Amino acid sequence: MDWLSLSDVEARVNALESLMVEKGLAEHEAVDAVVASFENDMGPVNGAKVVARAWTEPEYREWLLSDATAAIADMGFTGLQTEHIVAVENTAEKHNVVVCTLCSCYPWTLLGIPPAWFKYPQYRARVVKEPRSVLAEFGLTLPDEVKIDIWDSSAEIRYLVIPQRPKGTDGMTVDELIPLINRDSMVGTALASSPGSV
Amino acid sequence: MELETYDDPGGLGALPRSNGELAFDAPWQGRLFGLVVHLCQAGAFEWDEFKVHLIAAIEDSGIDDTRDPAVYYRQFGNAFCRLAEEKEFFDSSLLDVRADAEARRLAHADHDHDHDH
Repeated sequence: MDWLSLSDVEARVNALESLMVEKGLAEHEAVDAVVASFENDMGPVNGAKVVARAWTEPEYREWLLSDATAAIADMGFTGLQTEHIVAVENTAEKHNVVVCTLCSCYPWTLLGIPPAWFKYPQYRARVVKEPRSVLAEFGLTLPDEVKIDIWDSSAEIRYLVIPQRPKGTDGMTVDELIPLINRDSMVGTALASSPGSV
Repeated sequence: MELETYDDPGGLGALPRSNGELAFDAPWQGRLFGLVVHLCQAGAFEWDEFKVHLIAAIEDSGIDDTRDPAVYYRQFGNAFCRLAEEKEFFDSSLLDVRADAEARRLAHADHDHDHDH
């Protein structure tokens, strides 16, 4: 089968990966790890640039919250699956988490390649019903008083979580902030990293 | 991990980039790249063995402008299947059957709204 003429190449890549896993030659988690290791070359840095700008420019933050599609386009990040973006902001009172309960819609122009867990039925089903438990499994335990909002991606809308700016970053520049903003923090399954931890 | 190990800047098989960053225009492209790099790291083959097939797949396709990731990663997939056949990783007919089943799953059971990823 010539890949250049394939009509559904995504299915072939999925099939290839599952075959290699079955043969014992590959592991899904290891592919995730490879993708994650290149993440600064693969896209999440775009989302991090958006968040860092929102953290440092109050006017841009307002624009991002009111019209994320335009605010993100202003930074040059356009293309498939970022046409309709909504930005949701984490605060001391509210934490946002993104899921796609139907499949795996993902703002990959901003966040790079979706991790395998984002597609797992277990994540998609459970994070809606028991978000605190799922987040705890990611290593994120939120105080009981923090409300959790779950945002379900769709064909029309993709979501970007603006994580809370970590303490101790007041004097930091955009370039210094970007490495603190990891992919999972923009999905809502982690917090932004603290200075000195990256 | 050094990305340069798996790149060939200036060469026929150079990874597509935009402003210096790796360029993808669909998630499957990154997943395929990650799978092939992982298999190499796991010792399934040497990168130079894959590179020979990548260059041959690009040349055989008649499209040597590899800046378009939509084309490049299809050539990349062709190259890996050629290597897999050489290494006897799996029967190619098995991949066809699996891919058909996966396409049906994506189209129906797991995917009831109409858009691309």
